[in-house]
Amino acid sequence: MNEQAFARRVTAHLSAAARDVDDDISARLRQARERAIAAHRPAHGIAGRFSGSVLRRLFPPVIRSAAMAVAILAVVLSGDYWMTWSRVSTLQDVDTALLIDDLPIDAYLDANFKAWLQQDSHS
Amino acid sequence: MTRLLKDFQLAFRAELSAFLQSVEKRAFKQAVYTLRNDDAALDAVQDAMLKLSVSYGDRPAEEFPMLFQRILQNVVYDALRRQKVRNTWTTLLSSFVGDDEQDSDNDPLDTLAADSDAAYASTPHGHYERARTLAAIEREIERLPNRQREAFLMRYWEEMDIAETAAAMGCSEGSVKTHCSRATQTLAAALKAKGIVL
Repeated sequence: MNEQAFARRVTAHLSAAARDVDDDISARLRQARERAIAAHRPAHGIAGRFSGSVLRRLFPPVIRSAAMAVAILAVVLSGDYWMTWSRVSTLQDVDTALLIDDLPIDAYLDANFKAWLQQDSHS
Repeated sequence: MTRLLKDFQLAFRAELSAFLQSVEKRAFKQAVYTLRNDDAALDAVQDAMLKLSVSYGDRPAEEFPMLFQRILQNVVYDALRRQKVRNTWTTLLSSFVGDDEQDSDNDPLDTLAADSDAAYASTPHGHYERARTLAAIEREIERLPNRQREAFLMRYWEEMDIAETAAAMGCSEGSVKTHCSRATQTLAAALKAKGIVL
């Protein structure tokens, strides 16, 4: 008889022994279980637990690391997009002001403005 | 929404309760094999249940077996250490303490053979012999070294896989295999010596 088969037979006897524990012990175990369940409090509140469980079900451990990588990539790309958009938006404002000849006089008095304008038109 | 969350919490509690119910008697027996005292074993199981519920009740149900076994083993070893300290003081203070271990060596099962025949087992004599076989097996389980017994029971009785058992025991998978193999060999040899064939 191999190890597994022998172990199965031994544990079958042990299971029978566990089923046959005294009524008194069964009752005390039941009380202990009920006390333990009553003492249970969700660590992060019900809502946190609910959302945690939903996330765990949506992202099982197998795809959790892949989902994390995708989330990080999405954050980086959206950050880059936002930076580009804000820079282009600023340039657009200046260009528009130049085109409609509505640039404040202070801009022409700024020593760096002409250099910036030349550098920007080259690029 | 509140009602949904309340239902959700009830479902979680039911999940935890079902797990504890499924495991409580085996856990009690495991504790008895180490502590050899019903009251101490009950206290250990109660502590383990409370710790699981309070500290890990939010974890996914599939993690409960490994977490519970780890907590139970820690609680049982703590109780065992306390028991040993108490016994040392008792031995020092009194020379009239009986030795239960020596008494248990007078095993009446030395010539008993196991019989798996269902018809035979259903007879009063079958019940009697089955109970005695069971007692012999439990005694041999109790005599195993703690780590071997722990690995054997988790692996084969709790049906945890090698990785889970290793995580619960805080050792390598190789150690689990070694402990299980040695435990099985020791049990087989001990039962064979008593004339018990499973």
